[in-house]
Amino acid sequence: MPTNFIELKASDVETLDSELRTLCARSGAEAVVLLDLSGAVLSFHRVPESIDVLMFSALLASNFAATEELSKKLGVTDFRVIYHEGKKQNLYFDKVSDESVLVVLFKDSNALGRVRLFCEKAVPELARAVAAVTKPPEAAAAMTQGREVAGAIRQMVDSLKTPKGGG
Amino acid sequence: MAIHNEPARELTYKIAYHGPGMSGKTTNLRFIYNTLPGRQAGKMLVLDTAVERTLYFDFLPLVFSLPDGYKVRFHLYTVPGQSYYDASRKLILRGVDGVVFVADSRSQRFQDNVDSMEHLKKDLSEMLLDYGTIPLVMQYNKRDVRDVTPVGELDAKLNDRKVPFFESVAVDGVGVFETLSAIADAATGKR
Repeated sequence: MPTNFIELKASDVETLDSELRTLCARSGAEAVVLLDLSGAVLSFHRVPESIDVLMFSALLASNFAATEELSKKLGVTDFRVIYHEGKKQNLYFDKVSDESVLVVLFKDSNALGRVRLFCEKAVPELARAVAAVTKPPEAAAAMTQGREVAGAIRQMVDSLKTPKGGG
Repeated sequence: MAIHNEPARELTYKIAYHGPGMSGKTTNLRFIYNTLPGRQAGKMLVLDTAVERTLYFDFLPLVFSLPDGYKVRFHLYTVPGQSYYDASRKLILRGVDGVVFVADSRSQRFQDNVDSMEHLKKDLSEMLLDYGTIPLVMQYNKRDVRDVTPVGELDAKLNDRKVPFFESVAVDGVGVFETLSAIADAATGKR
């Protein structure tokens, strides 16, 4: 079967942004990312420009998926949190739903317990918000609404072959 | 999983390049990355081993603008081809919206292609996806080398769904964008 898809309206974007802003403030986090476990970003807050958020999310999702798979092999159930401790910064993962995870980047000077507490408070609301924007595959056809995507790619590739300059 | 961000006027799709080890999956992504200007292709992430085999995955984000102002993003991933990466390979297929199967046309790799196609079917099933309906495009790569299996023979054995297929020489870019356009069509439901 095709996969579900995520449909974000303006109000959904605001809800997710607001939740992440609040979590960031309360937990003292440096940055927060909510991502779908296929690797796509749903929302993020305060991610520094030096971090490529798309690449960051692809790696975070694969990291979580690999650890989740490991836990299955080990027979660990209800696995939902990962913590990576660095010298100056740490990463905390908290599973929001079957298809999404919350990731918090925080400094060593911040307490893990504080981050964990406020993540636990944020997760139920985020889970509701993610459930509300997750749509069945049947509705996905309306996404493209007849847009000629391949045509745009071909046109762009053709434009690369066109000699520049001249007149 | 496809995403429609209405206020940002963006659509996002995940595409996986699957196939046996050394068939040219990473080469496809590298050619796209090296050809497209920076505004279309983001940074390419390559997680490989010392012998340039994909360890976990490669990742390349692309973005194209449509005439109506919408942007379509494709997140291209490759999976590791070697069979000993079975456990990690299937994870890359999570939530995938389209698959390009890159076959190695060299005669001695024929069975590897067949095995890899079986892996794809099994991996999709384990990720709760259906091989019979997932948007799929075939690419028969390395058509420039000697001793290749005839395309008809490859297609008869590998392409049981009779989806679009392309002959390619990915290292020179032959067939690379044709394949990308076809999977874009299939993944966005235009096929």
